[in-house]
Amino acid sequence: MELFGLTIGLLLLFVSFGFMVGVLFGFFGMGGAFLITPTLLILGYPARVAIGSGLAFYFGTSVIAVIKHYDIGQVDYKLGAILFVGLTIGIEGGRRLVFSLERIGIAELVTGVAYVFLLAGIGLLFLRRARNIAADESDEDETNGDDIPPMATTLQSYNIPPMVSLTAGGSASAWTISGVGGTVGLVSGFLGVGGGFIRMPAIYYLIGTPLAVAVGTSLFAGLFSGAYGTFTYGAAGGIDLAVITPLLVGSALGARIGSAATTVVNEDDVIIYFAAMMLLASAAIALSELGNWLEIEPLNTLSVILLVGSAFFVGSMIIYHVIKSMRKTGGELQQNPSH
Amino acid sequence: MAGYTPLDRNNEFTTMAYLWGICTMIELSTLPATVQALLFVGVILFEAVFLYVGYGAIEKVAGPRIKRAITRGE
Repeated sequence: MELFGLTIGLLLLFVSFGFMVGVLFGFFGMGGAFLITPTLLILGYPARVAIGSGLAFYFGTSVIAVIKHYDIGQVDYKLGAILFVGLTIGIEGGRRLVFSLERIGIAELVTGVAYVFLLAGIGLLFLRRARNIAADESDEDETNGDDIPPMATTLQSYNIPPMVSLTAGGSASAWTISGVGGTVGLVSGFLGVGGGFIRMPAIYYLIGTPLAVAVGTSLFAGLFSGAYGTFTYGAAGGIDLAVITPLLVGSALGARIGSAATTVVNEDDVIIYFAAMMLLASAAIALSELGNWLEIEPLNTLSVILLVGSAFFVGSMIIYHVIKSMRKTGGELQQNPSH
Repeated sequence: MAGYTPLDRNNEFTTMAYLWGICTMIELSTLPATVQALLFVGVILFEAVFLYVGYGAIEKVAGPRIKRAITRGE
């Protein structure tokens, strides 16, 4: 039996996987498209559909994030607009690159390999954070959110016109801003990710806005770049609504639970699992690529189980901690002292 | 995924009174590519808002019951 062109099993998989991705990324404050796109690749969707649908999923989740923080925190609209221009050009470049690779028949291979490194990189970063926590290296007081990082101060000292004055003070070269936007957009358009995990640090470290403005501006620019990514891949036949809808149905619910969990679950308790999940996801994609190369189908099945299973495990850990905390407090969500 | 065509599937999807009826009666494949793409953006925007509002309402109604069910299982 099929519904919307998907088997019931696949439909349930998308809803439940979307739910777990929502829990995870609602908790860790990310979009989650960088788990959706590789999963679609492993499931055998063509690269452009996996990437386009990943971007569309990101667009849906960022709409929800913006409604939730409807004032979008502190936004530098001029900076956001210039960033958006760069992001648009970058996304378009990324899409063209994917379609060029598709024409020579290596789009799935190249994006798959890129994901192996991307997810391993993120996993290692989180692993380092977990080890620092374990070693009791408190990062408190290391950074004041209003401080301008030294790297940004150096970059701002190069006056390459035209200079753009920033709302929070100081100025940055339009070339730096559009360069940041273009690079993030290229990654976004090529891999089908929102790119928030590089966009926000790039705004903070390279352009040099205070942290709160970097978060708000990143969300603002991300929303429009997600819309553009959906549009450009949609026009090229790279969007599958039958995939995105069940993922969003699950994710919107999961994100509610995930963001509520931040008040009761200590991030330090689950960060090590998240790091392990990212490393497993990277290994899963490597296995899938190997399976395709050696034409061993069970390796593909194993990679799906590994990727989806690890997301389910970490998502379940968060839900378990929430339930445990609620039982302890008699149903009240007790504020986590670390938040 | 041999012979995979997302647009065919999207078309099938929409003719099945697509979710809340937003795209009912629209034959996607007959529309120009840019219009289709704009429609995708609109549909996802609508879905996201609908889901946010819908789950918010469900949470208001069913939230206390779920809380009670969780704590009762102690």
